[in-house]
Amino acid sequence: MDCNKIRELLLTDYVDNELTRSLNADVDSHLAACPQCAEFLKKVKSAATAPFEHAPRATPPPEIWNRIQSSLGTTAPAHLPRRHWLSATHRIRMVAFSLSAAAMLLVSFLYFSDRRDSVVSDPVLVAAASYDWQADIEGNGFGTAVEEYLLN
Amino acid sequence: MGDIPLNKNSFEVLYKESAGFVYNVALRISANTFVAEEATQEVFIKAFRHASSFEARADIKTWLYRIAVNTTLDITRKQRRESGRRVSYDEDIVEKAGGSDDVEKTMTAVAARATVQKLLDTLPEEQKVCIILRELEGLSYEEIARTLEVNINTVRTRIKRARTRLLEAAKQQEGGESDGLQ
Repeated sequence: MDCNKIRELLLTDYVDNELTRSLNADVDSHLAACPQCAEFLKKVKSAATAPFEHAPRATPPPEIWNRIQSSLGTTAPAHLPRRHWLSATHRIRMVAFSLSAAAMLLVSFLYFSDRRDSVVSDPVLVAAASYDWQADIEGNGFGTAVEEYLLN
Repeated sequence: MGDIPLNKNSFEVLYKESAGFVYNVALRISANTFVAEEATQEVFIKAFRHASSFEARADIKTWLYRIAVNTTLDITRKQRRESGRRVSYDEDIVEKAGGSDDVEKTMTAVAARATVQKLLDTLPEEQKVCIILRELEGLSYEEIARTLEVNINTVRTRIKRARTRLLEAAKQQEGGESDGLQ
C-alpha cells in the first residue's frame, strides 16, 4: 500500500479499530518503516481523536422525566392495552361500523318517509287531510266529503 | 408516576437506561441544553407511543439513537429559523452550575465540554453527527450506518472528511499561535 492509502486508513478504520487483523498488521508494518506516516498518525490522534477521549458526559435533568410523565398523562392513553384497543385499526373499524349504522338508519328513514309520502299523496287521504274537520263536525257531520268522493 | 400504570416499570427502565445517551447526543448536536431537554422529552414520548412494537424490535438502542439524531436536528433547524431563544452552551451550563459546592470541578467540566463542542461546531452537520456517534458514543461504523440509515462507506467518508477538517483546523491554530509568538 502507498502512503495515500495508508493515511486514508489512519484517518478512519485504523484509529477506530475497524480493520481486519491482517490489514492492521500491514499498516503497522508500514508505520514502522515510514516516519512521515507515523508522524501523520500522531497528528491525527492529537487533533482529531484525543480531544474526544474522556469527554465529560452530561446528566439529563430530572425535570425531563417529570415532563414526559405529565405529557403522557394528558395527551396519551394511560394504559398500554387501551392504546392497543384504540389503535388505528380499531379506530377505523369503529368509524366504519358507525357509518354503516348511520347509513342503515338513513335508508330506513328515507324508505318509511317515502312510503308515508306516497300514502299522503293518495287522493283520498289528501282530501281527508285537507278537510276542515272542525267545520264539518259543526256543519254536515263527520266524513261527508270523503264519502261523496268514494261514492262518485 | 401513576399516569402510566401498566408499563410504567418497563418504560421507566428504558428511560433510565437510555436517557443519558439520548440527552448527550442531543446536547452535542445542538450545543443547547433547552434543545437537548426538548429533544430527549420528544424521543421518549415517541418511544412510549411505539412501545407496542418494541418487543419485535431487535435493536431499540439503534432506533433511539436514530430518533434522537433526527429529533434534535429537526428542533435545531426549526430553532435556527425562528432564532428566538438561542442560549449558548457555555452560558447555559455555567448558569446551571451556579450555586454548586464544587464550582471548580464544574468549571473544569464546562471547559472540557466547551473544547469538545468548539471542535464539533467546526464540522458540517452530517460529519458532526458521525463524529459524535463514533467518538463520544463509541458506535462502530456498522452501527452508525444503521442509525443514520446510510451506507457504511458513507459513514467512512464522513468520518475521514471530518478528521481531515479537524487536522486542518489544528494546523491553522498552530500557525496562528506561532505567528502570535513572533
